Order: sequence, then structure tokens, then C-alpha cells
Amino acid sequence: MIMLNVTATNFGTAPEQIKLSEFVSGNMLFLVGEVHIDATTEEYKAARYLTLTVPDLPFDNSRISAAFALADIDGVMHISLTTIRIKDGSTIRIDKVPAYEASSPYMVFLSCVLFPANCAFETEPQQAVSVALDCTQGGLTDAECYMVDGEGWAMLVLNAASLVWEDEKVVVRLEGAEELSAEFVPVIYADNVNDALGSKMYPGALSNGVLTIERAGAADEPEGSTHKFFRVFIIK
Amino acid sequence: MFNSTGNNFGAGVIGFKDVREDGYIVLNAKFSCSPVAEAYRAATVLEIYVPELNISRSTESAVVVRFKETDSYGRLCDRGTFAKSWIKDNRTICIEKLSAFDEFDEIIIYIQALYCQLAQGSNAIKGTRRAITAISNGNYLSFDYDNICVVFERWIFFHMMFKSCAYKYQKLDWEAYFDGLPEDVTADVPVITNGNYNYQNLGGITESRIDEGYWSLPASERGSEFGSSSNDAFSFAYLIRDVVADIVGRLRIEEATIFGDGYVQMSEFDLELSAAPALASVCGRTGQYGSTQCKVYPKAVPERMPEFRAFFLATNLSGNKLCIHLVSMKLSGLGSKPQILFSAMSGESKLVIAIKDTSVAVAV
Repeated sequence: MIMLNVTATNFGTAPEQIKLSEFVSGNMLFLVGEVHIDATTEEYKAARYLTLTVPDLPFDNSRISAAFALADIDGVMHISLTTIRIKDGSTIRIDKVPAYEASSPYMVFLSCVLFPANCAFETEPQQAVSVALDCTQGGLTDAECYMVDGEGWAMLVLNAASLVWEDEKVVVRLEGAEELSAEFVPVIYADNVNDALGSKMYPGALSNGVLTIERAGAADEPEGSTHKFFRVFIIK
Repeated sequence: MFNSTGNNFGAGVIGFKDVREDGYIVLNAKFSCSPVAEAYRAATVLEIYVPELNISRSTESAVVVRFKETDSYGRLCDRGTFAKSWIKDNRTICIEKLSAFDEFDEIIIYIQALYCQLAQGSNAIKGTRRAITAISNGNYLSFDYDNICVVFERWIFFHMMFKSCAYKYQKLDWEAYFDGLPEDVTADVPVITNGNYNYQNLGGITESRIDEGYWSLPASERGSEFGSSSNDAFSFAYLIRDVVADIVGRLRIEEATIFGDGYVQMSEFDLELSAAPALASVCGRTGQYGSTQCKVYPKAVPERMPEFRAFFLATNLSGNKLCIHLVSMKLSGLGSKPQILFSAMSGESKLVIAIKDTSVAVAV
């Protein structure tokens, strides 16, 4: 797995503290990893956008994509979205998340793909396969799971009406995804979609196709909570 | 872009950005000149000579003319006004010469104007007003309801209307993110203010800066009357976007609003597909409070764009806009009546979302 060569940032985080994996395939740049952000630094306050300086990016612009923003607010991990794009051939731009600045430090978790704009006049959709779920601990109700298995990368989408906890965990084997692993998979839900602090999440991890979701001390969900879902990109 | 080939009032070479369309041209330029120069004094109308334009003569438009001055108390007294401007022939842009500026050593002229072909009928273009939401630290800056833009493929109409600033920020540099304003616009935009004690026939004028979606106005540019009068400060400009020309057959659908049945619509919609293997990038927003679906009909779909489905992450458009949704999008019906269907997947009872995401386009 190749680490992204970040040589500078404009928000006070040292480049060596940023651990991002990259995978380039044709017109696609996959990025997976975490960026920890201290919103109290002068550099952060002075920056309009968060930028990562990365020499020799594979293209000099990209369409916009979504990245996760996570903040620990009063002991509860909240999650929302921010945006990411390639600004020029050596700069990745991430939008700040003002709502989480008061809970600094917050984290931007990348599990995304970028491609350059204005580059195609012919293309072909990819095949998604439905993934069978084999629960070995706890369970999922009304669940659906899809996988796109690319060369060197994969996209996984899971959506379930609810989780059935067993010893505070749900463990499920994703059939056909045995070669996929990911250290962090945020399983997202919301008690109330108008929540002023964003969605909540259960931390998950994928190891050789086995997905483990931890309850992590989360309280019981109230009636009307949304489905539990994730969409992640995985670099093989 | 092009440079002027000459002028009759002693200015140097003037660089223009231009957008040429059927029946009109949008021009952007900022330059200075000296009203005390001999050539300026001799001119009755300021003429700028340029390479051939697509307009042979135009209706009258307006440009901003200003000067910069500090009074004996150190206060800014920058003043100016609008002057008429028109295209006299396809190589000459004219600007009204106003005697109010005759005594000043230097004036600045901002051309941020749209010139229509004179005496030629054509189909009118109707733009769609897009509200600009100003986001500043603690929302210390507030703007009027008419803080808007109208976005076209290669240019925008921009109308800023300032309202107020929180007291403790009044002497600081101002900056706000203008949500809704395209980020590919970079310009110095004059701001028309009120109040004038020294020059009764002119208004107050200062200069804002637009870049990367931000609007900024440094304290050093603001006169003492800014924001303290009964009149709102405003800007009025046609601004050119820094866009790259599309490759032929680009796989993109971009529409300010895509309509569905009844009141169903998706705003600020922008979809693009990558080369194979296909990725789909989508921006857009919709507010379906009574349904978990939004079906809209694009006016046109590129010939080679295939049917596909994709899973996107979106944010909730109500409340603090922080909660995440999982949304399915399906493009189908190509060739007859193309349609795009967005469906909430994550258990909500409504579809009130903003999407800015890239995902994998999968076969239907």
C-alpha cells in the first residue's frame, strides 16, 4: 500500500502526522486515511480551506467528493461530511467543518475517490454484486450489501434497518469480500436527521471480509432512528 | 482574453477577459488612467481600441469609475459613480467621460459589463436567481435578501447587498464565504456605498475581492460611512468565470434546476461521468418533504452517457445540515424521456438533501 506523500499543510498539522494511503488507477485516485485537525492553531484560523501539498498528483484538478468529519462531543462521536478535491497538480483541498471547531481537535476521515473533470466522452458502468451476509455474532435486519470489485480497489455499501447486538458487537462475514480489509469503517446512523451535531456512528472494522461493528458504549437508539449504513472505498 | 490595441486617453495596454455569445458579449477589465493627461483632456469620449469583437454596436451598459483619496483627518474618501459604456463598432469600446473626475491625478475604471447587440432581435435568455448565503465566523456579517447571483456556463451576474456588521468586527478586515457563488470567479468588485461630504455629485465607492468562493473587504478599503447610513452598500457586476472549454461530448449534465412532476425539482444540479471504469460525480440539492424520492427530467443527456445507478452520501439540508444520508441515484430512460431518480436509502421519511460526492457508476 502506497502512502500519500504529503510535504506540507496550511493548518498546523505536521505532514508526518498525516497517514493517507493512495491508489491510482487510470483516471481514479483513491484516498483512505485520517487527518487530525487542531482548530485552535493560528494556521487553521488563518486558512480558508485546508490544503495538503502533495507533489506530483496524478491530475491537476478533480471533481468534488465527500469526506467524513468526526468529532467527539461530550463523549459521543458525531459524524458529518465535508468535501475534498484536487485544486491543482500539487494541492488537495478539504473544506473546513466550522460546526466541529468548538470540539477541536476533530478528524477528517477519507474514504473517497477523485477523478479529473472534463476528461470523458465515452465510458461504461461497472458491475455491482449483491453480497450475502453471514452473521456470526449478533445480527442485521433488512440488510442489503453491494460491492464493486475493482482492480486494486473496491467499494462496499451496506444498509440495514437495525443492528442486533450480542455482547455489544455485531460480527458478519461478507461473502465474496475475503480479500478486503479496512481498519476503520464508520457505520452511520442518526437519532434525528435534524440533529444539530450531525449523525452518530458505530466504529467498524473489516478484516479479510469479516466486518466487526462495536457498540462502543453507545446508548440505546430512540424510536425513529435511521438505518445503519456505510459506503467505503477500500484499497486492496 | 485579449489586450487592447490602443486608446485615445493615454492609458496603457488594457487586458480583457471576454465571453462571446450569440447577440452579446461580457467584458471584464480593471485599469487606471490619468484625467490630467493631455490625451485624456483632449478626448470627448474615452475610446478603447480592441481586436475584432462579435458585436458591431451595442446597447448602453455601465462601468464604474472611481478615485482614491484620503482627507486631512486620514479618512478614506474614495468616490465614484457609474458611467455609460457602449460598443461603437466591432473594434471600439466607448466610455462616457464625466467631468466630475477631471481634476484627479488618477482614476480607476472597472468594466464588468454585458453588452447586447443593438437593433437585432434574438431569443431572450432567462436566468435563475440563486441566493448567496454568507457564512462568516459567528455570522458577524449579514447581507440582504437580494444578495444573489445568476449563474451561466461561462459568466455570472453578481448582485451583493450588504446589510450590517457586528460591532466588534467593524474595524477589522471582513471575509465571508459566499455559499452559492461559483468558486471559479476571481475579481476585484467595486462596492457602492453612501455618504459624501466632499464631493456632492459622487457616491462612495470601495473595492471588494472575490476569489475561491470568498468575499472579502479589508478595513483599509472601507470609508467611515460604510454600513452606517440608511442606504445599503451594494455591488452590481457581470463577472467571467475561469472555466475550461468542454471537450466535445463531455459526459456532463449541468442545469440550474431540473424539474420533475408538480413541484419536484433538483437545484444546482451538476453530474459528470469519468472515463471507463465509470465514476459519477454529482452536486445538487432537493427538498422533498412529502416523499423519499425525487424524480426529475433533464432537458438533455449527452449521447454517449449510459444508464447507471450510484450510491451517494449526502447531507441533510434542513437543521444544521450535518446529518448524513445514503442516497441511490438512477439515470434511465435514455433516448425517449430521460429521468433521474433519487431515493432515500437510510430510512428517512423525506428527501431533503444536498449532494456533493463522487461514487462508482454501476450498471442498472
